[in-house]
Amino acid sequence: MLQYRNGSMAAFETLYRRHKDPLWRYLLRGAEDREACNEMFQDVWASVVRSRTSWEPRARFTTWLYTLAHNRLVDYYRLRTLATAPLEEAEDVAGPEHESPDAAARNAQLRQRLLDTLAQLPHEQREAFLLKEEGGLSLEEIGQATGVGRETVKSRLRYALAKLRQELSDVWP
Amino acid sequence: MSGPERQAPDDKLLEDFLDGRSPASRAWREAMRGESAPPEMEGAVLDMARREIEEAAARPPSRDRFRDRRWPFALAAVLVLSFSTLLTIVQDPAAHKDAMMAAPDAAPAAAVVLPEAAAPVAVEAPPQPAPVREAAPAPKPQAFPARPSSPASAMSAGSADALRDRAAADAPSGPEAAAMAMPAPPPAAPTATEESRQAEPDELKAARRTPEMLQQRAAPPAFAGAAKLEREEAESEAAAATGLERIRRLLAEGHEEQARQALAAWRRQWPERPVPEDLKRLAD
Repeated sequence: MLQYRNGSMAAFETLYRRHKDPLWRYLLRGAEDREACNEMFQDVWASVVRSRTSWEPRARFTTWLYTLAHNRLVDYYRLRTLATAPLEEAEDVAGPEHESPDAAARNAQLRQRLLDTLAQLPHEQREAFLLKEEGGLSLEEIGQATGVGRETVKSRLRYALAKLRQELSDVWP
Repeated sequence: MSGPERQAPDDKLLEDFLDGRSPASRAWREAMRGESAPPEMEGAVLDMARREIEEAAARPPSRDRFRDRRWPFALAAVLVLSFSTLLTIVQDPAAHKDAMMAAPDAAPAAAVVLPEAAAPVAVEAPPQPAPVREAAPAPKPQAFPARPSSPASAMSAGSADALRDRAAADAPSGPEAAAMAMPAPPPAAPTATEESRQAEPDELKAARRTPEMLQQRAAPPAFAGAAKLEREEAESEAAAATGLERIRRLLAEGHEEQARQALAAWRRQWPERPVPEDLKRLAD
């Protein structure tokens, strides 16, 4: 990011390629709406571009990026007052093309169950899970991005994991 | 007690998850494999970043560069203002003195207490014609914080002392010093002991002076405003004389008690000044 701040386009491309997929998935699972997700995705990167010259390395770039994304999601929730998305609205995600039909079917089923369970979680718990899984943030960084304390993050993750384990007990011994 | 076998199940679950060993993490990674941002987004975002960098490069020097150069301007402005203020004070000390007197803190309590401290000394002093400095040792310089004898004293106490010493050396003593005029004292917040003096005639208030102050007033004018100070002193001295005349008139009219009170007030106002012989019987 420091190189990008000094005007290196190549540095921005590196940043973008490193973070685009996890960030997009975080937004997609947070919003449950592909169109809104695309819009927020562009907004977040536009914020990065706008902040180029004023950026200071106070925290990891990843933490800052997901803080921007979290704030954008909060705005989205406010507009839509999304509590828990109905299962029918969840996006169907196609599996990778190289899998065998059986494996692909199995994985698609597991994926769908996982997404369904995740969609049933309160958005704070879902967000904590996604920030860890997609952003790779630590407890402290999740707390920093979402504006809560470390213990709160732990509590949210405990609830989220307990629910996931309960719903996926056949594949989660 | 706190080994892994004793941990609560959800703590173990959380630890595994944070370490990336949780089945939930594995399932999630498996489920999300191959799910990525739409390629059309990439073009839009990269174009946006490229455009911003190019526009920033083409932009003329921004305010940030000016911000780096503001310090010298600010410093120069402060120096010019300070110098002009100092110059104004030196050239017109009377205006500066008035401003100082107008300030609420310009007349601290010490200035109010001064006459009280000096009064008993004056009463005990023998009525010699020129006892100003010896008979009634005036309070120390802190007695005049609100009314500096010159602009220099307003600027520093050290220079005030120097001026005062110089005034003491140059000033005429005795009746000459008493004859020197002086301005009225600075308006001070009334205290309990001063309340009774609020009713005193103005000339008596104006006449209340210490020899130290007299000597200060007698110092040769060092600045342009000194002439004004001398004029004020002359007016005050005239007021003191008027006060004595008024007492004599009261006495002549037979109002001895009133004359006695007026003389007592006059002495409080001017404790170091000797009582004229013809009024001395009223003072006893």
